Amino acid sequence: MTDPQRFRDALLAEWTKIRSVRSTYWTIVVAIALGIGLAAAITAGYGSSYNELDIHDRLIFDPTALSLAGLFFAQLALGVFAIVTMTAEYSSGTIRTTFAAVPQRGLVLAAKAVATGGIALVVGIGTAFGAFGVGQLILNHYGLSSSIGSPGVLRAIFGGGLYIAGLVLLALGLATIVRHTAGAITGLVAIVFIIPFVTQLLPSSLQHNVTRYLPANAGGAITATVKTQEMLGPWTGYLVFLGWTALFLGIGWFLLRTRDV
Amino acid sequence: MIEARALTKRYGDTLAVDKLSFTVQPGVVTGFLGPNGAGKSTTMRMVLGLDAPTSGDVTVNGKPYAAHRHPLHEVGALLEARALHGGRSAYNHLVWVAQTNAIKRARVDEVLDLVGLSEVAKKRSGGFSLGMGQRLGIATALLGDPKVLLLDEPVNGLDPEGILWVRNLLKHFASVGKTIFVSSHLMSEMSLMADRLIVIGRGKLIADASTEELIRRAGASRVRVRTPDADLLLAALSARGIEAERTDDGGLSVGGTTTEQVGEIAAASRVVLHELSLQQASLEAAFMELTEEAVEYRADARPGWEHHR
Repeated sequence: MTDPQRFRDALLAEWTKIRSVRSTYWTIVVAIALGIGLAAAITAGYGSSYNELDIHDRLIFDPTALSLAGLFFAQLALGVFAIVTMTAEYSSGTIRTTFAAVPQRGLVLAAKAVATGGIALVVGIGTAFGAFGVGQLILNHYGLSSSIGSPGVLRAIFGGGLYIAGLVLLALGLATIVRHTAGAITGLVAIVFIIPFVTQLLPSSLQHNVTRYLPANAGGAITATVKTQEMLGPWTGYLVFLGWTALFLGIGWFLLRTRDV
Repeated sequence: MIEARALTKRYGDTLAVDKLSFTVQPGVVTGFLGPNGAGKSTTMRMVLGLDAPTSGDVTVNGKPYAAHRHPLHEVGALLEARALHGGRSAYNHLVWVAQTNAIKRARVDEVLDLVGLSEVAKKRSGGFSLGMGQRLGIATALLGDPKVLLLDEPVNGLDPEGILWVRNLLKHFASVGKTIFVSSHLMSEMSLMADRLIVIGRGKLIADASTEELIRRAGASRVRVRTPDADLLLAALSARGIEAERTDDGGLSVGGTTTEQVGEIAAASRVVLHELSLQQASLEAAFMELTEEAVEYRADARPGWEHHR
């Protein structure tokens, strides 16, 4: 782990693996399409029905967060991208070639994390800017738009990219633990969509203390510019989220070092 | 050089490899022979540090595999021919493997040329035949110009021409001083390829000897003779303490001797010979005999445990 030359070589190899398969390109295209396309759909929907919202909903109306809501679906596409970089090695058997070439398995995981996390950060920030632009253009029709100079807006947009990058690392950790594509994707969907949904069925007192600490909720707080009671603060939330990511990567790293391949 | 000392691997209740000790020397082709499920692949994975031994240890060129800074310069391995991402081209597959060990790009073209895949290098490997997959696997193993080659069933799926090619390639590499360790479950193939054989069954060492000696030890070749003067020859042979017996078709089967000796005895006794030939014991039969216990075991073993993950 302490050899920068070996890390650079491992990173180059991971980069080659990623750029030489088609699935990379279409997961990224799907992520961008979902992020920006849903921004248009969601802002149009909310914009047209704003007058029907009650006073509470109008008070927490967050045009920035709304335009970035598509990122919650884009994350799935990029999460699958990160999962496949690990699980496709197990299903094809190249994992043995990889670990024979780089016996320091932690180095391989680190290289995969830097490559997938880096791509996710760039794609995430780009998609967030695109989604914000499209979303505000639509909300502007209803006189509801915010602007890039408004308080917290730039943080929310870059935060969208940071969130996606963190989520991708969590997905990579999960894939390292599970080692099967379908299993890891199911796990990711459970973490991001199903578990937050299920906790809404908890008694409200409990719900308040659980839901906001879940990975997607805690991490998603960074894309909000209007703070609500149910949410952690943007950076507090992101730190909690990074804790989850570190937990999954850490368990994956531990198992990777000890398991036979 | 590969040195295994009391190498042991246990999966639950199954002892896949049982206190295996052997040395694979440079300069010769060493065959690793055993029935399916004998523990060959598990042993090879332990050599490469992919599976951790339950006990014992194994070194390559004096060090545990993982202690080498650029392991692909030490050991080139072919474990499974189809260990390829089907969507990636042969060229890109070799490029990423090369990058992990700082191997120059020019070497990729070299090994592609060597295995005869230059023409299809830019095509997705998903469309490759098993034989082409084997060739790409061998190209991958050769990338680092390693001192040791470790190949698990490298001729599987190859046509006769391909088998000959692998055989000659390995002999060539052995002749230039490399260590060649190649597994197979086919004794006949090994007898043509390997100078030395390490035979295992049930994870245990059964034999470690030169191929010639093993064939002699297990097969006990006999000399077949046809003659109109069978009684005379039998008497002449038994006078020299050579055991012989009549066969159903009226010939003689002579043990523990050579065609030369039988011919000379016949001439000295003025016996006319109609046939004098060496009956090589079937190699597969010899192998079956060697590994009988292991084969019996295989019948009631859980299938597929050799590929345990």
